[in-house]
Amino acid sequence: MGDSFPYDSWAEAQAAADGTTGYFTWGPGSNTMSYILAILGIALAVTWTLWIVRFEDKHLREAASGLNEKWGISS
Amino acid sequence: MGVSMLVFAQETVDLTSTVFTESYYFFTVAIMWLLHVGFMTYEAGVSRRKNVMATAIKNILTIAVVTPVFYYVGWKVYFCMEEGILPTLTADGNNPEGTGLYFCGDGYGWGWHGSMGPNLGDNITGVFWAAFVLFSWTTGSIMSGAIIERVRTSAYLILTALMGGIVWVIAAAWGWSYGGWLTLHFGYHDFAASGVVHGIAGIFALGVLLNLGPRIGKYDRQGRARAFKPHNLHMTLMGLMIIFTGFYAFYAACLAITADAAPGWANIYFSPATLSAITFTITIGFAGGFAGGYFFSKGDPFWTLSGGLAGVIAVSAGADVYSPNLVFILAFFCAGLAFYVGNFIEVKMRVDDAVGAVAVHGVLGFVGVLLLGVFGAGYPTGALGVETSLLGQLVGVAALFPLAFLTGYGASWILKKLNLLRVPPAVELEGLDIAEYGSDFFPEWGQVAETIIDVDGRSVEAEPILRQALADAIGASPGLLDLREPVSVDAGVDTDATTSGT
Repeated sequence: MGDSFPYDSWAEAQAAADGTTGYFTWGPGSNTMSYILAILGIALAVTWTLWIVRFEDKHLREAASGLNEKWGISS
Repeated sequence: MGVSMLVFAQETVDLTSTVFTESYYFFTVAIMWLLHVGFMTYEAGVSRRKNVMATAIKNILTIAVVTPVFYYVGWKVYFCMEEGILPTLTADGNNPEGTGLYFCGDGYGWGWHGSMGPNLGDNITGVFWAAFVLFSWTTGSIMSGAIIERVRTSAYLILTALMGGIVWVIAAAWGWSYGGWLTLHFGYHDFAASGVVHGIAGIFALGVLLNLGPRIGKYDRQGRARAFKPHNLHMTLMGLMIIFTGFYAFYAACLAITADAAPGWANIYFSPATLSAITFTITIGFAGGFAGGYFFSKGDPFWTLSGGLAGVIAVSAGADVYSPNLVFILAFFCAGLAFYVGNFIEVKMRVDDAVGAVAVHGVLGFVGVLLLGVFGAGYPTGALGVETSLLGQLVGVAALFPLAFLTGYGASWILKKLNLLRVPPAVELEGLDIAEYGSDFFPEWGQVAETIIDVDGRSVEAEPILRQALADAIGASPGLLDLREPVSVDAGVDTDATTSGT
């Protein structure tokens, strides 16, 4: 079994961790791209919700129309 | 050398504590998924064969809508509405009460804040946020079962986004947070969310049900109740048992870890608590609830299991302080109360709650809040140590009940006026699966005629009753409905096979 720990000491490991703390995709904290992405996400969620309302309504109206016709129900 | 070793040891202990906390909440989240596996299984089992897929998809899409609403809005609401209806946005992020741990005001909680993502300096926010998301899904799923078999999927999704993403979060900010006004000023105590999750979701569902109306054929012309048969009772019971398993993680996630102060755990108000105590409560609570449910319903399988749930919900508010001896007795009788309230809602109020959610979650949730005012009176709750009392718990119910009912009733009323709340009557009779998904999903089980328990208790063929009820509902003459005509639409389904017996 080999040693999977890639550093010679804990100090080296800590230094490596410190070197990455300032980095992650479009972060950390508030910056322009974070705002834009959040707003795009909100817009996507709202749009998706409106879409499913319309999509289902169309589906149900078609189904109801077919059933009403088949059963002789005037809608 | 000695000092540096001590520092190193302390850092190691701190890091271990942080990682333990992170792991603990992560696994409560993972196990809480079982709640939603259970809700989906339960509700799909309760529904008639023609509505199984529509019911299940509704539960799955709960995750798709509640999660983003909570991420973008709910998390901020939780931290910034502790003082009441209006957000409290202090410039420095300090709680006006001076109790600390107040995160509103510095951008914390918004989706663009540095805590909301891969931040090597923050191990906790993501798992803590996720635990709240699972609570949010739970509130949505509680309502979900009550309104099956006639609500539009899209209407349900809007309602569950509102309730799961915002309404219950406001309740939590008021009475289930470190700085909530109900707790700081009135000693409101609700350890495992009897009121802020179960009560809110159940009463929100009641508001929706009043606008939604009963399923076609649920009541005869004299208003007497019939009973629809679950298409799979074993699936229904198994779903409930899975929910009960997830409940343990729900309880566990209601604890905070306080590694630097004995006993090492606290409730959400940061009053001392233990994992051991709540394990007693939930386990004994289920036992008492099952026993009471069976006893009061005289062996009804549905109410035996629902009694277990009602029993636990009723003791959840005081799960951190109750003696197991008290829990067993309370759970036993609260299960009976749920049975009688459920029947009252169905028979007297003529509200068609398909799973008894209003009684089990709504009524028993708030009953549980009030019980703690009696049996937990005097307990110093929260940062200011205000003693819990019946009056304080009553104030909590008086604030939370209308919050749930008015938002549920108002939102569903708007959808009803827009004709977006309920599926068309003909589609409801035909079944939602064919209209929504173009298929009957159980061809391999054979096609037996749907039956219904009529008002006299006999199991009879459902179709003539449902067609008559449809004719009544749309004001058409029953003569227009030829009973020899197969009830199905063209969607690749063998129409004769789906309506045997006609």
